[in-house]
Amino acid sequence: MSAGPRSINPRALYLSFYFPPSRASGVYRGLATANHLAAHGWDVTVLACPIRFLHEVIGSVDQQLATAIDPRITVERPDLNQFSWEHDLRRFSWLRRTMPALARAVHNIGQRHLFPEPYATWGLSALSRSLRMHLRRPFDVVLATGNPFVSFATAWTFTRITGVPYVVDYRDSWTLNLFTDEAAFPDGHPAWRWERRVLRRASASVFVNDALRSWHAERYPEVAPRMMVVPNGWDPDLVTEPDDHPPHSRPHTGLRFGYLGTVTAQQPLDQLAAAFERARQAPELADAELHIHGHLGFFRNSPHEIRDRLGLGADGPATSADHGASGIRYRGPVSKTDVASFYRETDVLVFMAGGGRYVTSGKIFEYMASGRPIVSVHAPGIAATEVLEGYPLWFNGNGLDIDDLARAMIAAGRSARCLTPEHRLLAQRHADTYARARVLAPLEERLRTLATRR
Amino acid sequence: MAESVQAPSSTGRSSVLLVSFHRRPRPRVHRYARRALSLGANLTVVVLDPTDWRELAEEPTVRLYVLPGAGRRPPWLVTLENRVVFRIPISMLAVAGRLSGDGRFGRIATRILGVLQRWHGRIAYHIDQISRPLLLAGLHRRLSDAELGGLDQIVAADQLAVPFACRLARRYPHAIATTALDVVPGHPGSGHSAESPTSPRPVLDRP
Repeated sequence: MSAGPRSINPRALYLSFYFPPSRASGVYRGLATANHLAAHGWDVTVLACPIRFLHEVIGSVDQQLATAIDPRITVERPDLNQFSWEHDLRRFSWLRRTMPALARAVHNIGQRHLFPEPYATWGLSALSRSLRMHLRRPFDVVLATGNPFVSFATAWTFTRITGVPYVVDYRDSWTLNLFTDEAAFPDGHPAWRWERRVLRRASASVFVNDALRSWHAERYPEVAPRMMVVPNGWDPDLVTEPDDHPPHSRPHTGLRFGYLGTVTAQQPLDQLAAAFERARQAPELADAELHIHGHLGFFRNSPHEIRDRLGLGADGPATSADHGASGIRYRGPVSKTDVASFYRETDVLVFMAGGGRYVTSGKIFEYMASGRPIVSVHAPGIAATEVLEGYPLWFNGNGLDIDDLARAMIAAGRSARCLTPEHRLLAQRHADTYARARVLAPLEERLRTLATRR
Repeated sequence: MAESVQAPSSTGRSSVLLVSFHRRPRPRVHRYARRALSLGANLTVVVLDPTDWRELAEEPTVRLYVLPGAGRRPPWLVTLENRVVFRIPISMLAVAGRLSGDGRFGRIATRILGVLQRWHGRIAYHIDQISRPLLLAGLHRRLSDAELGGLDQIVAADQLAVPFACRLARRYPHAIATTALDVVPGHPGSGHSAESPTSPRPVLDRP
């Protein structure tokens, strides 16, 4: 395919379905990657999902996050057929209104033969849009991030047509179920065929931790040399220097434990609640509180079960100040600009993660950068522990046993009470390894090499 | 007119019409009905088979409409189909087999007919899947405006109910018409998170 005149700066097409103002899983990684490329002289065009999808299907957006997008970045939003999520009968097509079974059959054919994801139509729109843009001004490299993984298929097709090299970023796992550590699809499922196809032609494939890279390298040994690890990292603009006021000089008397991030039903919520209740039986934590900051679930229907499991009451107000005897308070979502104050007001950070050994959380890097004691509440041996190894203020319950978790909480509380600036500095030094710019540098270098070769 | 099992009682509450045409509705359909009632809605349920709905119909704010046998193929069509696809060809084959002497022609023709009849079964199934919702849609006229009163929300609980609910949605342009089984009118938080659509959140990256 012949393309238009080249630009001076290397030009990257970034296929990132979830991009601010989305607040979906891993959106910070996409934002940081695009910003990092723009800051290093790339001409970046992001193809993301339609805003309508965020409002109507996902049910929430983060407008403040959108302000963090580098103004040099162009964001385009190709269309998406919302068949799978549309509930409004008045917006159904004529075919679906009159012959729903036939409309469903046509939709299913697309899923079976085009791409096995409900986002497949976005891939088609993105492909068509990117080809038009490429004709006007050619791209030098394509970077695709999943989920959804239709972005990988789009990159693959784009490359087949134009010859532009592409890199896939496994922000999430596709064929591995992270919560069960088993294959996500049965043998013979089209997802396997697509993954093999995508990886075979990719100039590089990027994973968030080495456990995930190894899992994929075992399955696709022929492309293993082109695999690399880019951890999630933390953004310095979000974590400012914490104040050095000891907990007892704060307006609140007890220690404040804090969790920041989206709470999901897959996380060990029951164990967290039970362990915190037990830890509060210790005299030094008797007046301690656990403040949960963040959304309850990614979707609009998630909160009921989560609230129940945390003992917050099923239908209570969004941010309840009444925590009763449990000491757990739900504080609601935190604005991007308030993240730093969350860290300032929290004495002990609770790191809670669902899933098994392949799970890393993006939040853990930020936690470490704050230089606070961290208590682990997750299954033993998850990938996140790799990055916590060596963090001097890490209190690991080594699993989900309630007594062990409570002991770790008590120890972290003691540590918070006698924390010195030197301790914090030592802890922050460990986190510096994972500053976003540092972890993204090898990826940028790889993309630049690919762009230069063309 | 449809068989009305129970009349509604009070007014001034939100009014929900639930169309559930599957013979055995999924548990979430019942859960939705219960939730709507617990939130104080007047509920009208339109079904083909009332078996699973008798208990709910005992509630004072529930009205159950039954459309027995609706949407099924008329008896004359069943008879015609039986004659054209099975009886007439079989009789003709029997005659042809007798005429061909050694029965070779009859055996071949019987085999071909068997294949055609199997194909007929498959095609008929698909035609039924497509046409039945359309036939059911026409039955919306059985529900008079006087009986329904004002509707705030029309819910199609399954695929079969979609055209029916769409026709009703045209009659009640101000009612919410949806397939979502999680929102009750007047209770926006009933199926939604308490999060404001514009409220930001910190992100927990996965994996």
